[in-house]
Amino acid sequence: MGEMMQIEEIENMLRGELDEVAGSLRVPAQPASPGEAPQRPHRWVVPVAVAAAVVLVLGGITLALNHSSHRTPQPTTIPKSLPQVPFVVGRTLYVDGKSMPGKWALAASAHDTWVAVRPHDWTWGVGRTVHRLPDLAHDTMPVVSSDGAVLAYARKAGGVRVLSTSTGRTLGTWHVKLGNQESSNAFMLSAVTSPQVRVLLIGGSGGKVWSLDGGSVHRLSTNRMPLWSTPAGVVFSDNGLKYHLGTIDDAGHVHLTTLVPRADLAALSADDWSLRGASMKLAGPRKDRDRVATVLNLLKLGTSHQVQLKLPSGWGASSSNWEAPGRIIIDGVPLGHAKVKVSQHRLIRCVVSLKRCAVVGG
Amino acid sequence: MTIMQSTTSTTSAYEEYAAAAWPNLYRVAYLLSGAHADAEDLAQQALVKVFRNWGRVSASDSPDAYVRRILTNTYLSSRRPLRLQREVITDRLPDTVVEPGTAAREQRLLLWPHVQALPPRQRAVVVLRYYEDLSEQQIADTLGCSTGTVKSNAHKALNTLRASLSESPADGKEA
Repeated sequence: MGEMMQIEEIENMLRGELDEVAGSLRVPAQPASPGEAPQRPHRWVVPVAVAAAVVLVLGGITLALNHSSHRTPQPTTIPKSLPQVPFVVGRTLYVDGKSMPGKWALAASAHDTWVAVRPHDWTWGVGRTVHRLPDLAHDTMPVVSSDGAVLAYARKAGGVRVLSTSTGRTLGTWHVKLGNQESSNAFMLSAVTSPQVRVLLIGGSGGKVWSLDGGSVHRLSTNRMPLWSTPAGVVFSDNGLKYHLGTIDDAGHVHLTTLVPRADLAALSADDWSLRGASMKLAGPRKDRDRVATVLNLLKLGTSHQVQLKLPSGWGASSSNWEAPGRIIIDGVPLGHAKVKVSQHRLIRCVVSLKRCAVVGG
Repeated sequence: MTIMQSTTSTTSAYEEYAAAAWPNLYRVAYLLSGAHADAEDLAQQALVKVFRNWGRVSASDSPDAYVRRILTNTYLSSRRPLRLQREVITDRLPDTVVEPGTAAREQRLLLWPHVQALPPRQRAVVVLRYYEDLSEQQIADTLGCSTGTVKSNAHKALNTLRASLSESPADGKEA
Protein backbone atom coordinates (compact mmCIF):
# COMPACT_ATOMS: atom_id res chain seq x y z
CA MET A 1 0.00 0.00 0.00
CA GLY A 2 3.00 2.23 -0.13
CA GLU A 3 2.10 3.64 -3.55
CA MET A 4 -0.68 6.15 -3.86
CA MET A 5 -3.70 4.52 -5.53
CA GLN A 6 -5.67 6.18 -8.27
CA ILE A 7 -8.97 7.72 -7.24
CA GLU A 8 -10.80 5.34 -9.60
CA GLU A 9 -9.30 2.38 -7.78
CA ILE A 10 -10.39 3.82 -4.45
CA GLU A 11 -13.88 4.31 -5.81
CA ASN A 12 -14.08 0.73 -7.03
CA MET A 13 -12.80 -0.58 -3.75
CA LEU A 14 -15.31 1.54 -1.88
CA ARG A 15 -18.19 0.14 -3.90
CA GLY A 16 -17.01 -3.39 -3.29
CA GLU A 17 -16.35 -2.98 0.43
CA LEU A 18 -19.53 -1.10 1.20
CA ASP A 19 -21.49 -3.77 -0.65
CA GLU A 20 -19.68 -6.47 1.26
CA VAL A 21 -20.25 -4.84 4.65
CA ALA A 22 -23.92 -4.20 3.93
CA GLY A 23 -24.43 -7.59 2.35
CA SER A 24 -22.94 -9.46 5.27
CA LEU A 25 -25.19 -7.80 7.82
CA ARG A 26 -27.79 -9.87 9.53
CA VAL A 27 -30.66 -7.43 9.59
CA PRO A 28 -32.53 -7.57 12.90
CA ALA A 29 -36.29 -7.85 12.98
CA GLN A 30 -37.99 -4.54 12.54
CA PRO A 31 -38.91 -3.08 15.94
CA ALA A 32 -42.60 -2.73 16.77
CA SER A 33 -44.29 -0.61 14.18
CA PRO A 34 -45.56 2.74 15.43
CA GLY A 35 -48.96 1.51 14.38
CA GLU A 36 -48.88 -1.43 16.75
CA ALA A 37 -49.40 -1.35 20.46
CA PRO A 38 -46.11 -2.39 22.07
CA GLN A 39 -46.32 -5.70 23.89
CA ARG A 40 -44.18 -4.43 26.71
CA PRO A 41 -42.29 -1.27 27.50
CA HIS A 42 -38.96 -0.98 25.78
CA ARG A 43 -36.67 1.78 24.72
CA TRP A 44 -38.88 2.82 21.85
CA VAL A 45 -42.02 3.06 23.83
CA VAL A 46 -42.08 6.82 24.09
CA PRO A 47 -41.45 7.84 20.48
CA VAL A 48 -43.55 4.94 19.28
CA ALA A 49 -46.42 5.91 21.50
CA VAL A 50 -46.21 9.50 20.38
CA ALA A 51 -46.05 8.49 16.75
CA ALA A 52 -48.93 6.10 17.20
CA ALA A 53 -50.96 8.85 18.71
CA VAL A 54 -50.13 11.11 15.82
CA VAL A 55 -51.22 8.60 13.26
CA LEU A 56 -54.42 8.20 15.14
CA VAL A 57 -54.86 11.90 14.68
CA LEU A 58 -54.03 11.45 11.03
CA GLY A 59 -56.19 8.41 10.69
CA GLY A 60 -59.11 9.38 12.77
CA ILE A 61 -62.23 10.92 11.56
CA THR A 62 -64.09 12.85 14.18
CA LEU A 63 -67.24 14.76 14.38
CA ALA A 64 -67.41 16.71 11.20
CA LEU A 65 -70.66 18.31 12.00
CA ASN A 66 -71.90 20.02 15.09
CA HIS A 67 -73.46 17.68 17.56
CA SER A 68 -76.52 19.86 17.84
CA SER A 69 -77.02 20.33 14.14
CA HIS A 70 -80.42 19.59 12.77
CA ARG A 71 -81.01 16.23 11.19
CA THR A 72 -80.60 16.06 7.47
CA PRO A 73 -83.52 14.41 5.68
CA GLN A 74 -82.36 11.04 4.44
CA PRO A 75 -82.47 10.58 0.68
CA THR A 76 -84.27 7.71 -0.99
CA THR A 77 -81.55 7.47 -3.61
CA ILE A 78 -77.84 8.09 -3.42
CA PRO A 79 -77.10 11.74 -4.30
CA LYS A 80 -74.69 12.25 -7.20
CA SER A 81 -73.50 15.71 -6.25
CA LEU A 82 -69.85 16.56 -5.65
CA PRO A 83 -68.72 16.46 -2.00
CA GLN A 84 -70.58 18.97 0.12
CA VAL A 85 -67.84 19.15 2.74
CA PRO A 86 -64.13 19.69 2.05
CA PHE A 87 -62.79 16.39 0.75
CA VAL A 88 -60.02 15.00 -1.42
CA VAL A 89 -60.63 12.44 -4.15
CA GLY A 90 -57.40 11.29 -5.75
CA ARG A 91 -55.50 14.56 -5.72
CA THR A 92 -58.51 16.83 -6.22
CA LEU A 93 -59.70 18.93 -3.33
CA TYR A 94 -63.40 19.73 -3.31
CA VAL A 95 -64.63 22.71 -1.36
CA ASP A 96 -68.16 24.08 -1.48
CA GLY A 97 -69.13 21.43 -4.00
CA LYS A 98 -66.45 22.51 -6.51
CA SER A 99 -62.92 21.41 -7.21
CA MET A 100 -60.00 23.61 -6.25
CA PRO A 101 -57.17 24.18 -8.73
CA GLY A 102 -53.99 22.23 -8.10
CA LYS A 103 -53.14 18.84 -6.74
CA TRP A 104 -53.67 18.15 -3.08
CA ALA A 105 -52.27 15.31 -1.09
CA LEU A 106 -53.78 15.57 2.32
CA ALA A 107 -56.49 17.59 3.96
CA ALA A 108 -58.24 17.99 7.25
CA SER A 109 -61.53 19.69 7.83
CA ALA A 110 -64.14 20.75 10.30
CA HIS A 111 -67.23 22.38 8.87
CA ASP A 112 -66.03 24.75 6.14
CA THR A 113 -62.52 25.01 7.51
CA TRP A 114 -59.90 22.82 5.93
CA VAL A 115 -56.17 22.21 6.05
CA ALA A 116 -54.50 20.79 2.98
CA VAL A 117 -51.07 20.30 1.57
CA ARG A 118 -49.76 20.77 -1.89
CA PRO A 119 -46.20 19.53 -2.41
CA HIS A 120 -44.11 21.48 0.11
CA ASP A 121 -46.90 23.98 0.71
CA TRP A 122 -49.27 23.73 3.65
CA THR A 123 -52.43 25.74 3.38
CA TRP A 124 -55.69 26.28 5.17
CA GLY A 125 -58.93 27.88 4.21
CA VAL A 126 -62.51 28.62 5.02
CA GLY A 127 -64.57 27.93 1.97
CA ARG A 128 -62.57 28.59 -1.17
CA THR A 129 -60.19 31.17 0.28
CA VAL A 130 -56.68 29.76 0.53
CA HIS A 131 -54.17 30.86 3.15
CA ARG A 132 -50.60 29.61 3.29
CA LEU A 133 -48.78 28.50 6.40
CA PRO A 134 -45.20 29.55 5.60
CA ASP A 135 -44.08 29.55 9.22
CA LEU A 136 -45.31 26.03 9.94
CA ALA A 137 -42.55 24.03 11.61
CA HIS A 138 -41.11 21.27 9.46
CA ASP A 139 -42.59 17.82 9.99
CA THR A 140 -45.54 19.02 12.04
CA MET A 141 -49.26 18.88 11.43
CA PRO A 142 -51.71 21.74 12.06
CA VAL A 143 -54.87 20.95 14.02
CA VAL A 144 -58.35 22.42 13.72
CA SER A 145 -60.99 22.62 16.42
CA SER A 146 -64.04 20.48 15.82
CA ASP A 147 -66.19 23.55 15.17
CA GLY A 148 -63.68 24.80 12.59
CA ALA A 149 -63.28 28.12 14.39
CA VAL A 150 -59.70 27.74 15.56
CA LEU A 151 -56.51 26.53 13.93
CA ALA A 152 -53.30 25.78 15.83
CA TYR A 153 -49.88 24.90 14.52
CA ALA A 154 -46.26 24.64 15.60
CA ARG A 155 -44.15 27.53 14.34
CA LYS A 156 -40.70 27.31 12.82
CA ALA A 157 -39.63 29.94 15.30
CA GLY A 158 -40.92 27.82 18.17
CA GLY A 159 -44.12 27.68 20.14
CA VAL A 160 -47.69 27.11 19.03
CA ARG A 161 -49.71 29.77 17.23
CA VAL A 162 -53.48 29.81 17.55
CA LEU A 163 -55.50 31.49 14.78
CA SER A 164 -59.10 32.46 14.39
CA THR A 165 -60.20 30.99 11.08
CA SER A 166 -62.92 33.61 10.69
CA THR A 167 -60.51 36.56 10.84
CA GLY A 168 -57.14 34.92 10.16
CA ARG A 169 -55.79 36.77 13.16
CA THR A 170 -53.57 35.33 15.84
CA LEU A 171 -55.51 34.66 19.02
CA GLY A 172 -52.41 33.83 20.98
CA THR A 173 -49.06 32.11 20.95
CA TRP A 174 -48.02 29.49 23.43
CA HIS A 175 -44.30 29.81 23.95
CA VAL A 176 -43.76 26.17 24.67
CA LYS A 177 -40.78 24.05 23.75
CA LEU A 178 -41.99 21.20 21.64
CA GLY A 179 -38.61 19.50 21.51
CA ASN A 180 -36.91 17.95 18.56
CA GLN A 181 -38.04 14.64 17.22
CA GLU A 182 -34.92 12.86 18.41
CA SER A 183 -35.89 13.55 21.97
CA SER A 184 -37.90 10.94 23.78
CA ASN A 185 -39.38 13.78 25.82
CA ALA A 186 -40.65 15.66 22.79
CA PHE A 187 -44.10 17.15 23.01
CA MET A 188 -46.25 17.38 19.95
CA LEU A 189 -49.37 19.31 19.12
CA SER A 190 -52.40 17.01 19.26
CA ALA A 191 -55.56 19.09 19.39
CA VAL A 192 -57.17 22.44 19.91
CA THR A 193 -60.62 22.97 21.37
CA SER A 194 -63.19 25.71 20.89
CA PRO A 195 -65.07 27.80 22.02
CA GLN A 196 -63.01 27.43 25.20
CA VAL A 197 -59.69 27.56 23.41
CA ARG A 198 -57.31 25.03 24.87
CA VAL A 199 -54.27 23.62 23.14
CA LEU A 200 -53.30 20.05 23.92
CA LEU A 201 -49.86 18.53 23.59
CA ILE A 202 -48.90 14.90 23.78
CA GLY A 203 -45.61 13.37 24.67
CA GLY A 204 -43.48 12.31 27.58
CA SER A 205 -45.69 10.54 30.06
CA GLY A 206 -48.95 12.19 29.11
CA GLY A 207 -49.97 15.61 27.97
CA LYS A 208 -50.13 19.31 28.68
CA VAL A 209 -52.94 21.79 28.28
CA TRP A 210 -52.66 25.51 27.68
CA SER A 211 -55.69 27.68 28.23
CA LEU A 212 -55.81 30.67 25.92
CA ASP A 213 -58.03 32.73 28.22
CA GLY A 214 -56.14 32.21 31.44
CA GLY A 215 -52.74 31.64 29.90
CA SER A 216 -52.22 28.78 32.32
CA VAL A 217 -50.28 25.61 31.55
CA HIS A 218 -51.00 22.36 33.33
CA ARG A 219 -50.07 18.75 32.97
CA LEU A 220 -53.03 16.52 32.32
CA SER A 221 -54.33 14.58 35.27
CA THR A 222 -54.13 11.35 33.30
CA ASN A 223 -51.35 9.66 31.39
CA ARG A 224 -53.79 8.80 28.65
CA MET A 225 -52.89 10.54 25.42
CA PRO A 226 -55.26 13.20 24.07
CA LEU A 227 -55.57 12.51 20.36
CA TRP A 228 -58.06 14.96 18.90
CA SER A 229 -61.04 17.01 19.86
CA THR A 230 -64.65 16.43 18.86
CA PRO A 231 -67.81 18.28 19.78
CA ALA A 232 -68.53 15.40 22.12
CA GLY A 233 -65.19 15.77 23.84
CA VAL A 234 -61.55 14.91 23.44
CA VAL A 235 -60.59 11.40 22.37
CA PHE A 236 -58.01 9.88 24.71
CA SER A 237 -55.93 6.80 24.00
CA ASP A 238 -55.16 4.31 26.71
CA ASN A 239 -51.82 3.03 25.40
CA GLY A 240 -53.46 2.40 22.08
CA LEU A 241 -55.61 -0.33 23.62
CA LYS A 242 -58.75 1.57 24.60
CA TYR A 243 -60.18 4.90 23.60
CA HIS A 244 -62.36 7.20 25.63
CA LEU A 245 -64.18 10.43 25.09
CA GLY A 246 -63.48 12.90 27.84
CA THR A 247 -63.61 16.52 28.83
CA ILE A 248 -60.79 18.62 30.13
CA ASP A 249 -60.69 21.79 32.17
CA ASP A 250 -58.21 24.64 32.37
CA ALA A 251 -56.47 22.98 35.30
CA GLY A 252 -55.76 19.89 33.24
CA HIS A 253 -58.30 17.68 34.99
CA VAL A 254 -59.56 15.01 32.63
CA HIS A 255 -62.99 13.49 33.09
CA LEU A 256 -63.47 10.43 30.95
CA THR A 257 -66.98 9.71 29.75
CA THR A 258 -67.70 7.25 26.96
CA LEU A 259 -65.62 4.30 25.86
CA VAL A 260 -65.32 4.47 22.08
CA PRO A 261 -64.29 1.71 19.67
CA ARG A 262 -60.70 1.25 18.63
CA ALA A 263 -59.99 4.47 16.87
CA ASP A 264 -57.31 3.85 14.31
CA LEU A 265 -59.81 3.34 11.56
CA ALA A 266 -62.80 4.68 13.35
CA ALA A 267 -64.82 7.73 12.68
CA LEU A 268 -67.53 9.33 14.69
CA SER A 269 -70.48 10.89 12.97
CA ALA A 270 -72.50 13.79 14.26
CA ASP A 271 -75.09 11.31 15.42
CA ASP A 272 -72.65 9.05 17.21
CA TRP A 273 -71.99 6.41 14.62
CA SER A 274 -68.51 5.01 14.71
CA LEU A 275 -67.11 3.84 11.42
CA ARG A 276 -64.38 1.34 10.79
CA GLY A 277 -62.91 -0.12 7.65
CA ALA A 278 -62.83 -3.89 7.19
CA SER A 279 -62.21 -6.59 4.58
CA MET A 280 -59.00 -4.94 3.57
CA LYS A 281 -57.65 -5.59 0.09
CA LEU A 282 -54.61 -4.47 -1.81
CA ALA A 283 -54.93 -1.60 -4.24
CA GLY A 284 -52.81 0.91 -6.01
CA PRO A 285 -49.67 0.85 -8.11
CA ARG A 286 -47.02 -1.70 -7.28
CA LYS A 287 -44.65 0.71 -5.58
CA ASP A 288 -47.41 2.25 -3.50
CA ARG A 289 -49.49 -0.85 -2.92
CA ASP A 290 -51.92 -0.13 -0.14
CA ARG A 291 -54.49 -2.04 1.88
CA VAL A 292 -57.88 -0.42 1.58
CA ALA A 293 -61.23 -1.20 3.12
CA THR A 294 -63.94 -2.75 1.01
CA VAL A 295 -66.47 -2.86 3.83
CA LEU A 296 -67.40 -0.21 6.37
CA ASN A 297 -68.68 -1.37 9.74
CA LEU A 298 -70.78 1.14 11.60
CA LEU A 299 -71.68 0.95 15.27
CA LYS A 300 -74.00 3.30 17.09
CA LEU A 301 -72.13 4.33 20.23
CA GLY A 302 -73.63 3.07 23.45
CA THR A 303 -75.85 0.60 21.61
CA SER A 304 -75.50 -2.71 19.82
CA HIS A 305 -76.95 -1.24 16.63
CA GLN A 306 -74.64 -2.11 13.75
CA VAL A 307 -74.76 -1.54 10.03
CA GLN A 308 -72.43 -2.98 7.43
CA LEU A 309 -71.87 -1.10 4.19
CA LYS A 310 -70.21 -2.87 1.28
CA LEU A 311 -68.43 -0.74 -1.25
CA PRO A 312 -69.32 -1.28 -4.91
CA SER A 313 -67.63 -4.35 -6.33
CA GLY A 314 -64.08 -3.64 -7.46
CA TRP A 315 -63.62 -0.57 -5.27
CA GLY A 316 -61.85 0.17 -2.02
CA ALA A 317 -61.87 3.16 0.31
CA SER A 318 -58.59 4.98 0.60
CA SER A 319 -60.23 7.58 2.85
CA SER A 320 -63.66 8.57 4.00
CA ASN A 321 -65.59 11.28 5.77
CA TRP A 322 -69.04 11.99 7.05
CA GLU A 323 -70.70 14.41 4.69
CA ALA A 324 -73.85 14.71 6.71
CA PRO A 325 -75.56 12.58 9.34
CA GLY A 326 -76.12 9.19 7.74
CA ARG A 327 -74.07 10.03 4.65
CA ILE A 328 -70.48 9.01 3.98
CA ILE A 329 -68.22 10.08 1.15
CA ILE A 330 -65.26 7.96 0.11
CA ASP A 331 -62.14 8.46 -1.96
CA GLY A 332 -62.63 5.29 -3.99
CA VAL A 333 -59.68 3.44 -5.48
CA PRO A 334 -60.10 0.64 -8.04
CA LEU A 335 -58.91 -2.75 -6.83
CA GLY A 336 -56.64 -5.12 -8.67
CA HIS A 337 -55.01 -2.58 -10.93
CA ALA A 338 -51.24 -2.66 -10.66
CA LYS A 339 -50.98 0.56 -12.64
CA VAL A 340 -53.82 2.52 -11.09
CA LYS A 341 -53.36 6.29 -11.18
CA VAL A 342 -54.85 8.88 -8.89
CA SER A 343 -56.94 10.06 -11.83
CA GLN A 344 -58.77 6.73 -11.61
CA HIS A 345 -59.97 7.45 -8.09
CA ARG A 346 -63.69 8.11 -7.92
CA LEU A 347 -66.08 9.59 -5.42
CA ILE A 348 -68.18 6.96 -3.71
CA ARG A 349 -71.13 7.89 -1.51
CA CYS A 350 -72.89 5.70 1.04
CA VAL A 351 -76.28 6.33 2.63
CA VAL A 352 -76.65 4.54 5.93
CA SER A 353 -80.46 4.41 5.84
CA LEU A 354 -80.30 2.74 2.42
CA LYS A 355 -77.44 0.46 3.54
CA ARG A 356 -75.93 1.08 0.15
CA CYS A 357 -72.91 2.73 -1.51
CA ALA A 358 -72.44 3.77 -5.13
CA VAL A 359 -69.78 5.29 -7.33
CA VAL A 360 -71.11 8.75 -8.03
CA GLY A 361 -68.17 10.59 -9.56
CA GLY A 362 -66.59 10.49 -12.98
CA MET B 1 -61.13 17.95 13.33
CA THR B 2 -61.71 15.70 10.41
CA ILE B 3 -58.78 14.21 8.61
CA MET B 4 -59.84 13.15 5.20
CA GLN B 5 -56.90 11.60 3.49
CA SER B 6 -55.19 8.50 4.85
CA THR B 7 -58.08 7.46 6.98
CA THR B 8 -58.90 3.86 6.36
CA SER B 9 -55.46 2.79 5.31
CA THR B 10 -52.80 5.06 6.76
CA THR B 11 -51.45 2.57 9.25
CA SER B 12 -51.50 -0.43 6.98
CA ALA B 13 -49.91 1.50 4.12
CA TYR B 14 -47.17 2.69 6.41
CA GLU B 15 -46.61 -0.78 7.84
CA GLU B 16 -46.32 -2.29 4.41
CA TYR B 17 -43.87 0.35 3.32
CA ALA B 18 -41.82 0.11 6.53
CA ALA B 19 -41.57 -3.66 6.32
CA ALA B 20 -40.26 -3.45 2.77
CA ALA B 21 -37.92 -0.55 3.50
CA TRP B 22 -36.50 -1.80 6.81
CA PRO B 23 -33.66 -4.05 5.54
CA ASN B 24 -32.09 -1.41 3.30
CA LEU B 25 -32.74 1.30 5.84
CA TYR B 26 -30.88 -0.76 8.42
CA ARG B 27 -28.00 -1.46 6.06
CA VAL B 28 -27.55 2.19 5.14
CA ALA B 29 -27.86 3.15 8.79
CA TYR B 30 -25.12 0.67 9.63
CA LEU B 31 -22.83 2.06 6.94
CA LEU B 32 -23.43 5.53 8.35
CA SER B 33 -23.13 4.74 12.03
CA GLY B 34 -20.81 1.74 12.03
CA ALA B 35 -22.50 0.02 14.97
CA HIS B 36 -25.41 -2.37 15.04
CA ALA B 37 -27.17 -0.77 17.99
CA ASP B 38 -26.81 2.71 16.55
CA ALA B 39 -27.96 1.48 13.16
CA GLU B 40 -31.09 0.00 14.68
CA ASP B 41 -31.79 3.20 16.60
CA LEU B 42 -31.11 5.35 13.57
CA ALA B 43 -33.29 3.32 11.24
CA GLN B 44 -36.09 3.17 13.76
CA GLN B 45 -35.89 6.91 14.43
CA ALA B 46 -36.17 7.47 10.72
CA LEU B 47 -39.22 5.22 10.53
CA VAL B 48 -40.89 7.04 13.40
CA LYS B 49 -40.40 10.28 11.51
CA VAL B 50 -41.71 8.68 8.36
CA PHE B 51 -44.74 7.51 10.31
CA ARG B 52 -45.37 10.96 11.70
CA ASN B 53 -45.24 12.40 8.22
CA TRP B 54 -46.70 9.51 6.29
CA GLY B 55 -49.12 11.70 4.39
CA ARG B 56 -46.29 13.82 3.09
CA VAL B 57 -43.98 10.87 2.48
CA SER B 58 -46.52 8.82 0.58
CA ALA B 59 -47.55 11.83 -1.47
CA SER B 60 -44.02 12.70 -2.50
CA ASP B 61 -42.76 11.87 -5.96
CA SER B 62 -40.23 9.47 -4.51
CA PRO B 63 -41.00 8.15 -1.02
CA ASP B 64 -37.65 6.34 -0.98
CA ALA B 65 -35.77 9.59 -1.58
CA TYR B 66 -37.81 11.27 1.14
CA VAL B 67 -37.03 8.49 3.60
CA ARG B 68 -33.36 8.50 2.64
CA ARG B 69 -33.29 12.22 3.38
CA ILE B 70 -34.88 11.66 6.77
CA LEU B 71 -32.41 8.89 7.62
CA THR B 72 -29.33 10.83 6.53
CA ASN B 73 -30.35 14.01 8.24
CA THR B 74 -31.19 12.15 11.42
CA TYR B 75 -27.68 10.71 11.32
CA LEU B 76 -26.09 14.09 10.65
CA SER B 77 -28.11 15.89 13.28
CA SER B 78 -27.01 13.52 16.03
CA ARG B 79 -24.07 15.36 17.55
CA ARG B 80 -23.42 12.69 20.13
CA PRO B 81 -23.42 8.98 19.48
CA LEU B 82 -26.98 7.81 19.17
CA ARG B 83 -26.39 5.15 21.75
CA LEU B 84 -25.59 7.74 24.37
CA GLN B 85 -28.63 9.81 23.54
CA ARG B 86 -30.97 6.88 23.69
CA GLU B 87 -29.65 4.82 26.56
CA VAL B 88 -32.20 4.01 29.20
CA ILE B 89 -32.23 1.36 31.85
CA THR B 90 -34.09 -1.72 30.74
CA ASP B 91 -34.56 -5.26 31.94
CA ARG B 92 -34.30 -6.57 28.41
CA LEU B 93 -31.27 -8.26 27.03
CA PRO B 94 -29.96 -6.83 23.78
CA ASP B 95 -31.89 -8.37 20.94
CA THR B 96 -29.51 -7.48 18.16
CA VAL B 97 -27.57 -10.49 17.01
CA VAL B 98 -24.28 -10.00 15.26
CA GLU B 99 -23.77 -12.63 12.66
CA PRO B 100 -20.76 -14.76 13.56
CA GLY B 101 -17.83 -13.79 11.49
CA THR B 102 -19.05 -10.29 10.71
CA ALA B 103 -16.39 -8.58 12.79
CA ALA B 104 -13.64 -10.78 11.41
CA ARG B 105 -14.84 -10.19 7.88
CA GLU B 106 -14.87 -6.44 8.40
CA GLN B 107 -11.34 -6.55 9.79
CA ARG B 108 -10.13 -7.94 6.48
CA LEU B 109 -11.45 -4.93 4.59
CA LEU B 110 -9.01 -2.22 3.68
CA LEU B 111 -11.12 0.88 3.36
CA TRP B 112 -14.01 0.23 5.73
CA PRO B 113 -12.09 1.07 8.94
CA HIS B 114 -11.06 4.38 7.39
CA VAL B 115 -14.57 5.11 6.14
CA GLN B 116 -15.70 4.83 9.74
CA ALA B 117 -13.20 7.48 10.74
CA LEU B 118 -14.41 10.04 8.20
CA PRO B 119 -16.29 13.12 9.41
CA PRO B 120 -20.07 12.49 9.33
CA ARG B 121 -20.86 14.56 6.24
CA GLN B 122 -18.03 13.07 4.20
CA ARG B 123 -19.07 9.62 5.31
CA ALA B 124 -22.66 10.30 4.31
CA VAL B 125 -21.52 11.42 0.87
CA VAL B 126 -19.42 8.29 0.49
CA VAL B 127 -22.28 5.98 1.49
CA LEU B 128 -24.79 7.74 -0.74
CA ARG B 129 -22.41 7.84 -3.69
CA TYR B 130 -20.79 4.43 -3.53
CA TYR B 131 -23.40 2.28 -1.83
CA GLU B 132 -26.64 3.93 -2.86
CA ASP B 133 -25.21 4.88 -6.28
CA LEU B 134 -26.76 8.34 -6.18
CA SER B 135 -25.72 11.14 -8.49
CA GLU B 136 -24.17 14.30 -7.11
CA GLN B 137 -27.45 16.11 -7.63
CA GLN B 138 -29.39 13.41 -5.79
CA ILE B 139 -26.91 13.53 -2.92
CA ALA B 140 -27.20 17.31 -2.82
CA ASP B 141 -30.99 16.97 -2.64
CA THR B 142 -30.68 14.41 0.13
CA LEU B 143 -28.31 16.47 2.22
CA GLY B 144 -29.89 19.81 1.41
CA CYS B 145 -26.69 21.30 0.02
CA SER B 146 -25.20 22.29 -3.31
CA THR B 147 -23.55 19.87 -5.73
CA GLY B 148 -20.38 21.84 -5.16
CA THR B 149 -20.47 20.90 -1.48
CA VAL B 150 -21.05 17.27 -2.43
CA LYS B 151 -18.07 17.33 -4.77
CA SER B 152 -15.92 18.97 -2.16
CA ASN B 153 -16.85 16.42 0.51
CA ALA B 154 -16.36 13.52 -1.85
CA HIS B 155 -12.98 14.86 -2.92
CA LYS B 156 -11.79 15.26 0.67
CA ALA B 157 -13.08 11.83 1.63
CA LEU B 158 -11.39 10.08 -1.27
CA ASN B 159 -8.11 11.86 -0.63
CA THR B 160 -8.28 10.97 3.05
CA LEU B 161 -8.97 7.34 2.22
CA ARG B 162 -6.17 7.24 -0.33
CA ALA B 163 -3.75 8.75 2.17
CA SER B 164 -4.89 6.34 4.86
CA LEU B 165 -4.28 3.39 2.60
CA SER B 166 -0.80 4.55 1.71
CA GLU B 167 -0.01 4.69 5.43
CA SER B 168 -1.49 1.27 6.20
CA PRO B 169 0.92 -1.57 6.80
CA ALA B 170 1.00 -3.80 3.77
CA ASP B 171 0.46 -6.94 5.78
CA GLY B 172 -2.39 -5.60 7.81
CA LYS B 173 -5.11 -6.60 5.42
CA GLU B 174 -4.50 -10.15 4.50
CA ALA B 175 -4.17 -11.71 7.93
